Amino acid sequence: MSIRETAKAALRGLGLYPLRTFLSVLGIVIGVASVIGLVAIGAGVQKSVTNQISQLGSDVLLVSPAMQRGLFGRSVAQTTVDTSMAKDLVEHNPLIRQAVATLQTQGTMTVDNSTLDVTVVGVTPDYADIFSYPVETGRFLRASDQDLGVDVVVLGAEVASTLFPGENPLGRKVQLSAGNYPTRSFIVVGVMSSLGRTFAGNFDGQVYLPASTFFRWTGQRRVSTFILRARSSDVAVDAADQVDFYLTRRVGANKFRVESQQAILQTIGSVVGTLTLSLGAIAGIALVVGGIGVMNVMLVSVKERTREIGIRKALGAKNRNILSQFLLEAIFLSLTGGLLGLFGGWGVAALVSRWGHWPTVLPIQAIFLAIGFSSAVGLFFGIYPAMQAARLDPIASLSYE
Amino acid sequence: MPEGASEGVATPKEVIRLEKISRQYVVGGNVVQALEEVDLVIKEGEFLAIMGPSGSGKSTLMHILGCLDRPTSGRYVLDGVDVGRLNDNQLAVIRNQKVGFVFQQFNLLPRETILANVELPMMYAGVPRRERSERARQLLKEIGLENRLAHRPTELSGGQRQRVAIARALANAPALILADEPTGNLDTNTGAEILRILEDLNRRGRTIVLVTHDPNVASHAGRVIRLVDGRIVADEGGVAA
Ligand SMILES: Nc1ncnc2c1ncn2[C@@H]1O[C@H](COP(=O)(O)OP(=O)(O)O)[C@@H](O)[C@H]1O
Ligand SMILES: [Mg+2]
Repeated sequence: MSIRETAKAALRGLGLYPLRTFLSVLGIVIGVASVIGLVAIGAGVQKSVTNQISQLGSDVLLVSPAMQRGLFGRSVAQTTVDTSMAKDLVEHNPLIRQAVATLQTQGTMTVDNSTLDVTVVGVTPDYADIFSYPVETGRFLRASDQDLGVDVVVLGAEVASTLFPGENPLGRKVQLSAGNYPTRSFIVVGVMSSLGRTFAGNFDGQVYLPASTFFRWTGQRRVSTFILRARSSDVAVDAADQVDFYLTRRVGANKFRVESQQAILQTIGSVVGTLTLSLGAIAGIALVVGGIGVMNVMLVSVKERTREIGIRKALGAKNRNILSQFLLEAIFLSLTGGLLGLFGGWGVAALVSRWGHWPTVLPIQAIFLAIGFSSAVGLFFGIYPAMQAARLDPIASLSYE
Repeated sequence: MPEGASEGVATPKEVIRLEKISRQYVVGGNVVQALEEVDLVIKEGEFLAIMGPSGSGKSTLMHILGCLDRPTSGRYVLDGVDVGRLNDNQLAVIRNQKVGFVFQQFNLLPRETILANVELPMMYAGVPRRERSERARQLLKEIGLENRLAHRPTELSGGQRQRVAIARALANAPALILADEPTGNLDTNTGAEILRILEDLNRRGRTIVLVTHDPNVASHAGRVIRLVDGRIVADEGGVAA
């Protein structure tokens, strides 16, 4: 008897009691769905993180003063440094190629009657090219803006589209107010293109002033973040260590936090890895439970079909024909569960990723894993019932009621 | 055998030779002697009825003849093969190739079509699909069920089911048809119809062994043996051995 015919007989057996079939494979459905769901979610998160990081470049480092809870619960920077340190960071750390300082404050921008909360960032003109942040329209800040401290502003993509829907913001006058500083007028000279979500925050919601203007307006010299660029992505983690060591020597230990994107990437990778592993173990348990479900329903099925087995044997079925029929049935059974779980898990992952704004990624290996795993479960837990079937005595089976 | 053909033409060959076949069951420490030293030779083309009271060993004998069971002792040669030496797989092949069963309970697979039921022995024989289907259709046509190919056995009457079972028994053109009370579940008319089919098969050369309680049924057979307590006590009407 060919595989095809055995398969047909096995499938016929499965269709007998659809509800029972479904219930018996529920464990497998859940097991596979959780594996697929978790793997897909993990892969999606990882992809989204990788995307965010590649927006900035994995050779980018962020250095910011460490914050500590001060009096009355206010966050207090552990140290203050001025923008001149950017130059020192490049000079004293051979692994660093470029550095810019940013000054930051929260403020509101007003145009006509619309107002928007924005992050006001004072930067030097090399800010835009340190992580290849392209201009959408107009221009970015120039050296002359910095030197003269003129009142010009460049808008992040989201700020521009919110305050100037369908309009050209270039040349328009905007009002900025921040904290206790006097409200001040700026001319829009450029709009940046969208960077999307990144690890260094939402660039699209920022507006950029020349650092000199920022200082003249607010009197604030304290650097919020240095953005550094390592010689290459490969040395990014080493560069972070180098900078950390340099800063410790210069201003003392733990005054600054040095983050390399590469390190974030590695951390996320290992978190997702352990997550996948531990949840994989849970899924494994579900698969074993599912396998026992399969075994149970197969034993019942063998019992119920004793007479069928007797008839088949009387007509010339060999033990191995019966064995493979029931084994295939068990494999089909758990494969059905596996496929249901595959689609279920995929659906859950798609929902979760929509909610979390990351792409739905289902690695092809996960699909093969699900199919392979459920077949293996069927094979393993189907052997015993199938052997029971194959061993039945034909005469006793024929007279079984 | 026609008269006068005795010289020069070989006598019909033996399909079955049983020598001192015994079958005992051990039930709760007691030995039940279901068959005791049965000697029996059945030649090609014979129509043999086995009669005897309930529990006399008729079914046990049929099971051994059909290679569903093995004797506790004795020698059984079926169509030239000493069956006692065969393993389970080889016995399955013998059942498939040399024996066609017709049961009192019909024993069709309820969820398969009657066409698939008739194909089943050929499927286990590895007959290619097209050939198998063609032969099954032919067999079903011969018993007048060619319009019911796609029906399930449950949609058929008892007599129709037994006809399907006969078609199935013939699928691999076996040397021997074994029918254990084939009319036992049928009314008189339907039973008679089944008997006619079996007689017809016998006329066309098929060797048939039939178990029955009914003397009328037995009267259709050319030879009748009687079993009592696992022994053959009478053997009437056969070609002289
Ligand atoms: N599987 C078995 N186990 C124990 N005893 C059996 C078994 N099968 C048949 N017998 C016994 O063997 C004897 C012959 O049975 P059987 O061949 O079925 O008789 P019949 O078909 O003539 O009614 C009976 O005494 C019966 O109880
Ligand atoms: Mg009986």
